[in-house]
Amino acid sequence: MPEPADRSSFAEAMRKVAPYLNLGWNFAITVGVGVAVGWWLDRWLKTSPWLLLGGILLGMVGAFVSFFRAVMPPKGAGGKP
Amino acid sequence: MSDLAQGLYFLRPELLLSFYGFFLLLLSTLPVFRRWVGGLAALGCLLTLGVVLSFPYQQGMNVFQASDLFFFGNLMILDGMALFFKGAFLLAAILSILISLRYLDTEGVQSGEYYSLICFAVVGMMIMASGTDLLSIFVGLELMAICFYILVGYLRGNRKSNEAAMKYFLLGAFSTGVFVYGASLIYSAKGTTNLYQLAARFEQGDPHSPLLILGMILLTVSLGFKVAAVPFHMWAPDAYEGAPTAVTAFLSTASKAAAFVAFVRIYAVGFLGMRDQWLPLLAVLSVASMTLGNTSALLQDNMKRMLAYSSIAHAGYVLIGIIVMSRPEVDTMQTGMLSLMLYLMIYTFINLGAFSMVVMLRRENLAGDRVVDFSGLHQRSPMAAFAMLVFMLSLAGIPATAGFIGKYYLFAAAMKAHFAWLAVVMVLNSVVSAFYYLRVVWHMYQKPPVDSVRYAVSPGLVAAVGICLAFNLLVGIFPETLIELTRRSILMLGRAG
Repeated sequence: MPEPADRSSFAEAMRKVAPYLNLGWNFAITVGVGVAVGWWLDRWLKTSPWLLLGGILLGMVGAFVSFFRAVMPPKGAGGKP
Repeated sequence: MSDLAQGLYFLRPELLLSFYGFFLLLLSTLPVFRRWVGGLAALGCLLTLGVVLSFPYQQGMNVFQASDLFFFGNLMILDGMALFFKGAFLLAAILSILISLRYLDTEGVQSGEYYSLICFAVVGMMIMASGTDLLSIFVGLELMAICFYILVGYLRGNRKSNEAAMKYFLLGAFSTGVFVYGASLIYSAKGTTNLYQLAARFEQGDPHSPLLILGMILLTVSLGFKVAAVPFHMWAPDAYEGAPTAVTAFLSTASKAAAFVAFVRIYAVGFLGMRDQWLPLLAVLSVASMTLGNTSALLQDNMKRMLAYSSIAHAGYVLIGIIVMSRPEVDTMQTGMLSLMLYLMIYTFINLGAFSMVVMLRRENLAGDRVVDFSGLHQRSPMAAFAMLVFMLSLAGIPATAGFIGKYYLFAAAMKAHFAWLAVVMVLNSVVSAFYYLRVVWHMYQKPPVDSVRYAVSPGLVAAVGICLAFNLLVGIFPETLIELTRRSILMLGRAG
């Protein structure tokens, strides 16, 4: 059983890293949505594989934008550089 | 000799160190041996280093020209570069263990698991150094990373250590996902994840599909995280500050060198046929890392954060070596490789020395990791101040130190490959970096001491500082031996088998 001090220290650390907990899901879902939409459009418009590739690319760009928004401290937040 | 037998023969260092790690784990359960585990771990790494060094001697110097170096179905290779870096990882591990011996007592976390984890992390690094397939590199990368996630959070009662470990773990897991995604795209585009087979396909004139380029970009992102290159550096300052200082020393040197070996194998071997695509990408990463790393380091008051940003800048310098390798001329490519290997070896000894000094200032009532904690060091311990002076000058790249030799070779390689603009950016950044390194020197020699408590030195720490200091001075003044050793190692970067 951890000491109370250890528990509060761990809880405080978890609060600090909370924005990081969704990174993996956000990335996978954003890329997945891009792939699914691209694949579906390809089948509908018979343009395979170009819209799928476009979907992958858009999904990746979206995923990285969302990633950097989560991990970079907002301007003026006063965090350490 | 069958492929399996040859593989096991070539894998002796990894096998020995793995068994040794488990042996230490077992030994640490017996209270009577607990205080010896650290020393035994250093001895185990030394034995493994002996096995690594025995390869060139057992096979004569032919090991540097042999063509049949691949094993385990071309998943791994034992070439000069692999041997060179395996030696570097083991040396870094030995020095890290030496500085950990008393430090862990001060922090109250002395245990055998710590040393076992260091051994396992080194095994991961050695697998990475030999990896010739994205999958074998991945296995090594993960073995190393998982050990580091635990080591960074080793101070369980410390909030900063917990936070650092969680951030490092989550971002590390993310970058792992990105690596696997990139590898899967490459496999779907080319039908292989073997780097030498990829290189052979490019030589046969296979076109570059968009999927392949996306895969290559994702691998760059993932490896960018591992070497803490801008803009994938956000984990480094927090992880370096929160981790136990001895772990930070190991993380900032050996783990970075291991990630750069993977970088070299992937780009200078597998993706050499796509050099026009990755060259601009790495150039942007390099310039951004040098510039942002150095300018951010100027603002730091905490020594560990300052060295973290400095290591981000140094990752930018090392990337120049890989950029130079994009040139088709064999001679220029080898110059890039030589400069990169030389720089990583030298940087390992400088940074371990600098972190050893931070460990020395750590006492039960003082973290000792602020720049002001170095105030008046010259009056209280002239030898310690001299050692730190050499490490800081070496990091800044001042002549007669090892750091100068490393930077000079990178500069010369960039000029030879007609990347003069990159060399100029590097020199300008070195000038900026001199400011924050010399600030530490100014505190040591011009400021009064902060307190009169004696510094916490131990035989292990003194030995580690002494080795790093001797290396920095000797290589700074007589660099020929190290340069010749590195030159021999690169003669044998395997060709497509």
